[in-house]
Amino acid sequence: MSETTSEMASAAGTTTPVTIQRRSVLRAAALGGIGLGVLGAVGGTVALAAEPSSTTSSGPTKQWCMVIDLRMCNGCQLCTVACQTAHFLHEDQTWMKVYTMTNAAGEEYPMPRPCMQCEDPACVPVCPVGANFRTPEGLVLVDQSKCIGTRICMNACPYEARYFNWGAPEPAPKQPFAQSPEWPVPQVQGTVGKCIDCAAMLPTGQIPECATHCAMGVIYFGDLTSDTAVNGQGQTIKISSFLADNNGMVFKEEYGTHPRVYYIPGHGQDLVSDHDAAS
Amino acid sequence: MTDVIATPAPVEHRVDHELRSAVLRPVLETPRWWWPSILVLGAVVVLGIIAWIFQLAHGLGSAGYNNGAFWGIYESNLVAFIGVSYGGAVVSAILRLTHQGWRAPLTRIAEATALVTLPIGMIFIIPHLGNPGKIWELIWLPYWNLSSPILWDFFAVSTYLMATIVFFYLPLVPDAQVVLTQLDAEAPSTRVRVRQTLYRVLVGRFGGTPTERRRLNGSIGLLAIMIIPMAVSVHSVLSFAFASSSRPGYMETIFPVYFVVAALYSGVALVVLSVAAVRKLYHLESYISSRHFVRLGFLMIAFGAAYLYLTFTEYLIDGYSNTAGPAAWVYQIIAGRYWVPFWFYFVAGGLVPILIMAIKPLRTMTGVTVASVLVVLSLWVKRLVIVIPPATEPIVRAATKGSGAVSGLWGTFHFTWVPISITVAATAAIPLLLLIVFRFVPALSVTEMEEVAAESSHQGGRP
Amino acid sequence: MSRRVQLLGSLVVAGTASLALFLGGVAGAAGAGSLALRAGSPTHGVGTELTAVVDSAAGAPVANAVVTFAVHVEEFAGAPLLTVGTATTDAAGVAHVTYQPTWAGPTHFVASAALGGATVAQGTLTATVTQTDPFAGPVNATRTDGLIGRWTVAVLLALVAAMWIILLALVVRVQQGPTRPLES
Repeated sequence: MSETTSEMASAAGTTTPVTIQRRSVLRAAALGGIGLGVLGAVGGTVALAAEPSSTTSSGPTKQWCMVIDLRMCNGCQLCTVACQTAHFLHEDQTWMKVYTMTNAAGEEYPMPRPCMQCEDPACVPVCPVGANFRTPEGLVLVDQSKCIGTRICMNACPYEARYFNWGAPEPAPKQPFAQSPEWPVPQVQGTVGKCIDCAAMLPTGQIPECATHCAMGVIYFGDLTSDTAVNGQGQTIKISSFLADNNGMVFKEEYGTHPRVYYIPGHGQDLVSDHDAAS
Repeated sequence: MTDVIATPAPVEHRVDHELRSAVLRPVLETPRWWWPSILVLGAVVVLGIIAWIFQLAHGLGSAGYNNGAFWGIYESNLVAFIGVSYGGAVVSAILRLTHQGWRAPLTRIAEATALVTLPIGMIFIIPHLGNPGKIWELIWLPYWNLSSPILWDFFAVSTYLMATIVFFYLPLVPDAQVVLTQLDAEAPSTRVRVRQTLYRVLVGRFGGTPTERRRLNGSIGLLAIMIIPMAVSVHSVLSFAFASSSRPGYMETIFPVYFVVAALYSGVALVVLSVAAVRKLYHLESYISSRHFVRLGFLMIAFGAAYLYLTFTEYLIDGYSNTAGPAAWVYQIIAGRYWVPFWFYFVAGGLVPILIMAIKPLRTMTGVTVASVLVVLSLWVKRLVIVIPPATEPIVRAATKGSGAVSGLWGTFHFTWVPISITVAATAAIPLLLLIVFRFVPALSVTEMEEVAAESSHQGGRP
Repeated sequence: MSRRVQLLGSLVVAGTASLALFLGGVAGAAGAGSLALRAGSPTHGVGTELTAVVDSAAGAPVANAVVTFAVHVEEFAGAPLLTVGTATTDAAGVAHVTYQPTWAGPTHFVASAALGGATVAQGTLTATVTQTDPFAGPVNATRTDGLIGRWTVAVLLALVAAMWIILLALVVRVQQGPTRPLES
């Protein structure tokens, strides 16, 4: 954890020079190892094929997060189904669960709840054998080959986001990814599983299954370092301004877990669409 | 290592032949009821093991667990069975440190009860785990996550187990010497030879000279001091596994004290039951009288009153706060779906034992034994009330109206035949192991009783 | 309530790369206009300016056209478009928005303007971003244990070890026989 912090700090340090002179800034960037070394303008049309975005020599370049726009959610639970289909889960293993909440007026509204991928997760320090860990990209994962099944992480999680394999797991055909904490399919009897933000799919630019399959475009998946998130409908947002303009909030903030799932409160209201006008 | 406790030089040791023959007979000759009892109790234990193998194949779901009830009976059994082992520490260590002469015939029984119940409690870690095949990770340093309360539970309990073994062993050394002397006088046979080897190992080079005896008493004194904070630490750390979370009903600063007091309370009660059983089985009526029972009974309800007080403060403060999580949980326990077990504890484990000890005609050997049965049973139920409701009450929607999905006496937790068999087997294992222990070890601490008698007669006091 | 995500610091878009690209909006549509898109000099802290120049098919500047500027987010599959902003052209047919880059590397911009009817003018620009706005959002929060936690753990472990040593020493001490203990 401390390694990650220092890497983040050094990456930030290279971007601090405040000189306006372009050349020196560029040099600083190059020295800091985050510059691409490609100086000068690139003109001409370039095919808009997806290409791997910039990779730097040190430190994580991604900080995954999720933005859930509750205004759009109709509670259809396609996200839950897509998740369970992709990860071969039992019906009661709702890694992505849609709760029916009640507002102060007594109206019910649906609220999808994935793993919050907390920055300060309560589940990680309590495991006696260190089966829980947090990746440099900000994903909280379970190493099921280590898990002894004490379930104290289920006790610790304030979001009920952890699910145990109480019996034999759902059988799964051969998977495109090796069985790993990033793709724990099939699950292992007697161990804990949880939402992984479809970690194994992310390097290719895919977004998690729940986001892909949400017909309402509720679930945006994004990267805090590039400040962008995209939903299954191809709609893209600038996370910071989207949260600022739409009163973004986190669930159970008082628990000190610093979730990386941000909610836009509401149910059925209009989007504040013109959030770029100010910029 | 200097003696922490100033031990008076033992006065001239007087051998009590009557005592020795009464106590050593069941060790040297197999009592008639011994084998049948072992077989019956052993069969119950085997049934429990079969249930565990079934659970191993079918998963923890077969034990009534589900995603709405992640902890349940095994976790409360872990607490309850380790809890009843506390009687050994109290009766033996506290009474020893306060020089209570009347403790002498009780210490061996108390320590043996601790010796057998603590490993039985620890065994519950195994059915509790979803993946018991990987339990070795707890003792393998590269896997240790030192910020986990469960790892420290493991450290604390295993250290306490070691201390309990030593605390049982040290006072046994001179007694083993006594048995060895008796065996040496018997006609040699294979059985005698095997036993001679066993006792020789136990005795070591201990010769029984006044110097060695003083050294022994000093060691026991130091251990008696050490074992009290160790016992306190075990149930405190055990409570951390629950209390170090944000869950309403578990996040209680009162928990460490609450757990320790509950353990002492039920521990003394189990010592009463062991003493009553051993007294009857081994015909020790002339050494253990109702005086011992009543004194243990007073010790027990002192802890019982403290426990009642802690229960009251916990529920009052959580309920009074009117915060969504804790207050709703207190309501569910007192008047909601868990009211039956809670009020069973309150009456059978809180009020009745105090009344039995308060009303003079009831303050008899039978009265104290009945109270102890009630205490052991209701404190087991109370552990279920502590463990199950917080684990089964939903926490994401606790503040909203739609949380009525949970139903049943124990919320979403179901009691199936698997954990019940394992619990019954563990209960049967207590007398089973005690019978095995007392087949090899005198049920009374012969040397200690002789010493105490000599001391008190020297001082002109009554033992 | 909300956890504000903020943008801090500066950015540089390398070069004054500018490009005019003429893409007739709808093929075959009469009177398709053109749209030129270029990046301005990098301005520290507030981003760089993207400029679009909209001309009619006849080459005359188009005023009061609403230009939407967008950037391809290539981090995600399909490189979906993120709207940078919208601006209205002035009398010279020029519209500006400010772009604050949050990722580095070759970046593809698209500007489009509806020119009435089905006619859409579109221009693209590729520029290489060498320095981004450092984003203050992701914090790898650390627990409050740190040094105190480490020392507590060390002391507790030592205590447990001491307990085991004392227990074993007591057994040895009692078992050692009639020889006088070393310390007395």
